[in-house]
Amino acid sequence: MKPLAITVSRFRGWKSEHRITLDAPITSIVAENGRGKSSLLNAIEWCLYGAEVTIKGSGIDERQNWELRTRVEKDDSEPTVVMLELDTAEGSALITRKRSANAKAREADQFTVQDSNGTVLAGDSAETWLVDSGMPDWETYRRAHCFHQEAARQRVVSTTERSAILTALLGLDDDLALRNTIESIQPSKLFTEIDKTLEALNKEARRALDFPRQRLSEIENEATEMRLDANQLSDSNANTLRSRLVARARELATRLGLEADFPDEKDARAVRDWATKWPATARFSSPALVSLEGHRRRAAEFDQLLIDYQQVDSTWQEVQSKLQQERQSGEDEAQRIAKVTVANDKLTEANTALEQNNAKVKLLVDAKAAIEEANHKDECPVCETDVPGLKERLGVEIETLRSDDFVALQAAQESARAKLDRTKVAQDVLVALVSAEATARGRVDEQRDKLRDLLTIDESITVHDILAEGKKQRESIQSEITGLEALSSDRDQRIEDHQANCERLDLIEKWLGAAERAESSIDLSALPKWSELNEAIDELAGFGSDLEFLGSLARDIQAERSESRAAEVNKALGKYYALITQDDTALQVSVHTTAQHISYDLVDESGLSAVPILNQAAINALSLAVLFSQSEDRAMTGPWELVAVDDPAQSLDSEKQAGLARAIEELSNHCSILVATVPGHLSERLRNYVSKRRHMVTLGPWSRTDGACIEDEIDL
Amino acid sequence: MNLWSVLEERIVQQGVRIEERLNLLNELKVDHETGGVSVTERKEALVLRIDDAAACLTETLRG
Repeated sequence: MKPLAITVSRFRGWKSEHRITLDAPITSIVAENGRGKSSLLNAIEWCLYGAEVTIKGSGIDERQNWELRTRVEKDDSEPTVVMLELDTAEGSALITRKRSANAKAREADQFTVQDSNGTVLAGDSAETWLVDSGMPDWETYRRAHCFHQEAARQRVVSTTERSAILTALLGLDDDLALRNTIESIQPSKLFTEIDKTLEALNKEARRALDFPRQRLSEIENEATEMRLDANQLSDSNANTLRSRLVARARELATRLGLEADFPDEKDARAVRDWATKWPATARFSSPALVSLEGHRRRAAEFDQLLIDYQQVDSTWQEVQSKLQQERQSGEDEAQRIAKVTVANDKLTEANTALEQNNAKVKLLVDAKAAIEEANHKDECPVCETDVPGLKERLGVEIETLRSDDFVALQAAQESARAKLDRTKVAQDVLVALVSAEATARGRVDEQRDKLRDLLTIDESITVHDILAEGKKQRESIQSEITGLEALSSDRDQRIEDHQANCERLDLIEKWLGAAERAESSIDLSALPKWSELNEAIDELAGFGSDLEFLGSLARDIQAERSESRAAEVNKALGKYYALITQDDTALQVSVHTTAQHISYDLVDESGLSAVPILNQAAINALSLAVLFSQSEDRAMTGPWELVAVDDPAQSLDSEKQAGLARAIEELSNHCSILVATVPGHLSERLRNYVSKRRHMVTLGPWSRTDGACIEDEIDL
Repeated sequence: MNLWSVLEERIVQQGVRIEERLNLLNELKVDHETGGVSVTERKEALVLRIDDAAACLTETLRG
């Protein structure tokens, strides 16, 4: 399968549509720099591999992610189109790759193949057609079917890439890929992983064995703190404790009047569940103890009433006693009233006498004043009778009335008043005592009625009997209270005992469980997962050992095949290298084999690596020789029959360019060659010194308006 | 004779686990030709089975 022609349109420097035939054994594109010759080779790659050469790399190191169109064509809406006309075993076919001018970055190209029957396949079907037709993948193509100076040189200079390309040259790609696949799985690491898994499981198993023993020891220490000796850590003791718990709870329930359900004492789980709930049931649900509070309240009420009664009764007795004493000490109420009346009368008399004395004084004073005014010293101003010494006598009389009589009358008044006051006080005391006695008696009656109500007795019962009945009933209540308090206290004690026994039972059950676990080791081999694990390990071990075996076998076979193919490769490599360089240095493929790896190098006759001492021209020549060797081999074993070389004459002098022309002619015996080169010795040699049919295309100057153009095209 | 045929022949000659190794070789060949990863997936599935079984056993041991 080889291309017969290429048509490009809007591809990089190529603007308008151009068609170039490629059916001659040698096609040369000759042009000065920048006229579109490299773009033409890139167009073939893009048409065949699409995004692989634009996104992942063009095959030219410095041109990764190159743009499909020149930037000067922003307004051009026509799509980029590259078409390859192919000659296949079935007939001619046409591959077309098209991309619209405004396609988004991730938008797929329009890729179609028109096969020899005229059927047009598109997208994946077209890609599949290409693969089925034996088209090499991009990696193989860039290594064996195209030559870009920098990339080819790099592949020869780098030790790793040189080894890889020699692997391909030896036809051992599959060997290398197989060994790389096996190495990527890392079979030896699988055994390490298996060992780690088993070791981790062993560790867990040891821990599982030690843990119950350790737990047993901890429980025994707890038992010692609970004062349980080793003999008590037994199943029979646990049964005894369960029986005791249930029996004592039943007894308590009866005393408390509780209707409760009790578990079968032989059912350990049921007993455990019940035992945790029993304290709450016993503490809060006893009908017998419900009355205790009522009794306590009634007793308190009794106590208060009796105290109150005793207080008011005592007060009453006291008042009665005082009243009696007061009465016994003097008059009764009537006598005291009479005495007050008498005292009051006497005071009135004293007051009257005093007032009369004062009136008499005033009359005499007035008379004396009238005598003095009339200047009749002995004439009575009333009867006008002369009374000798009247004025003096009046003076003496006034003095007497004002002094002695007045004092006596005043004293009598004071005495009468004092007596009245005393008499009144005595009367008030008696009245107050009588009133207080009545009040105290009322209170006694009131308390007595309350006691009657409390004791529910009728009015005919005497006070003495009421008190006696009260005391009797109080004692009866106290007796009830004492009994219920004893029951409550007993209940609390029993609950406490119950909880302590529960703790003991819990500890014994824990100990029994731990002892069972300590005595019985887990039999992993009996578990279904154990056999599953072993099956998986066996399978993985088998898989790993098979992989290791295959890896080792593949390495041995690769080594053997390397040796057997080396001579053939050396011959082809030597042939092309000698043609280009006219140098008879025998470069040979050398195989380096270690336990794990196989690598290749090019060595000279002395067996030393040849590349480090080569000059630029020799390296270029070597990279071309390596490519041509591969191309020849691929042309003989694969269907693709085109090698495209871009500017292969760099660094080569005229002699070597002449050699290169001979090498190209030699390779054209096996496949078509498309050579892009600047005008010079190589183009001259290809034009004039090659005997094979050839198509010579000369490109004209590139212009902004027309892009690349074909200046001249001849077939020789 | 290509690589795969040579490998098949050597596996048979070796006479150990012939069926398993031929199957594995075929799997590798198919992966190689199709760009598949079935061998890697098989390894990962086996590792996962071991991890699951080991985790289950560990859980059992821890009670």
